[in-house]
Amino acid sequence: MGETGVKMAEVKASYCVQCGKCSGSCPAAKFLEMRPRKVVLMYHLGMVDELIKSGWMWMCADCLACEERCPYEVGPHSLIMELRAYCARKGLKLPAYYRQVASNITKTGFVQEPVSIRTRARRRVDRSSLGLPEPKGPSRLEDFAEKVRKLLEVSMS
Amino acid sequence: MKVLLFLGCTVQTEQYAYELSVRSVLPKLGVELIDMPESNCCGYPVKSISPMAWAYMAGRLMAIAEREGLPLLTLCNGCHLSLTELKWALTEQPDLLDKLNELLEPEGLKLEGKTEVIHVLELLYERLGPEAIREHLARELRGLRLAAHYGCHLLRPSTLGRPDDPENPRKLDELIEALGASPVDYPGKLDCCGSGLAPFHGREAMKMVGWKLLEAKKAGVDALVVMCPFCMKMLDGKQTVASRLVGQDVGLPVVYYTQLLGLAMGMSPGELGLELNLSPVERLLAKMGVKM
Repeated sequence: MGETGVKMAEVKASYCVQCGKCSGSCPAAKFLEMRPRKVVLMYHLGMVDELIKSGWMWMCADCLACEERCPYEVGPHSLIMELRAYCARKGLKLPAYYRQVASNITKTGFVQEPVSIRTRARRRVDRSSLGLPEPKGPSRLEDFAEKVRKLLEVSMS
Repeated sequence: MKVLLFLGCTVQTEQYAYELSVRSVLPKLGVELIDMPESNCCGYPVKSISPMAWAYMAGRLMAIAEREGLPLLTLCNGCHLSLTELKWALTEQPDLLDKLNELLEPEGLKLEGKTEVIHVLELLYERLGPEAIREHLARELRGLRLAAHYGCHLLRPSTLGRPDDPENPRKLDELIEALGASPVDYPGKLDCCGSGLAPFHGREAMKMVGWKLLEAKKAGVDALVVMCPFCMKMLDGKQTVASRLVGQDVGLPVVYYTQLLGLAMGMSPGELGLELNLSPVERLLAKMGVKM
């Protein structure tokens, strides 16, 4: 579907015999509409727009069971991830999660800052009260952030 | 042995019990933990939307480890998969190394892609081994029935080389057995914790937590044992909401293996961060005759 700059696992939709082992292994399929078998079929039939509209690529728990068990190495999980990349490259609306994560990574180097949590006895603790050392982010954070921002922009434009 | 400790985002920002137990237990087993002089997110959270941003972040960590000349120890299944996958991508795509070095060079870093990446499970099972661990025990956990939860990314995809068998993993079970406890198989053993789904479909992810815990409970276990901060965050941390969503009490003690190991080595619950677990761990401690 396009260039990602990094070679990822291959999608071989034409190998699919529609056996359904992927859907049978899918934990998300127990609770949501998503069926990996249908994703592969629709992709093979060129129904990318319909797939994007279905939102199924956001109904994946990223467990990789479909990828592991496919007897023909079709790569249903790789296809689902490729659909996510496609949305990003086309500038389509991504789940809010990605904006949040991208913003935090470029601010701190990590997906979030250390938080204070409650113990079972409802006492508030944090890294320092637990005697844990301060985590060290990228030494030149601005430089790091700038690079990540640019790389993300290419895919989230 | 000496390793570079890479905590990863989830451990260092909220899953403090894993870090506390790792820092308490591993040095007593002869593992010298060196904190990373600097680090960043492993890139996994953005891999699907920006493979290049992922490769830069994972590559940066590996380059730091190469500079320090030490193997990289990860506590998180996701970080371990991320770094392992980058090594695979570097062999599949020869020009990727140059692209990454172009980004890393101005930071004084150089990547070769040869860093050894070790997960805690591998460190305990392969490097130390169940027999060596037994020599450090202060007590045996006889009579405890424990369910191992490996977590998806520790096992799959096997094409990249994962620490244990994708369909019949045994290493964590054997490590549980090494403590004198009984590892118990249960139908949902390979099932996902739901963490990857949580950002997009929270309710359904919590239902996954609920059903997974019910499977383990049905097998009559005293606790579920995990090795990944994401799995812990879900299976230990979301039991109240999961119980509500599946309409049954899914409450079950959930602990990190390193916490369990520490208890068997005679350490106190405090040293192992057990007061930070949100699941009913008192039930497990009571069975062991240990006070919180």
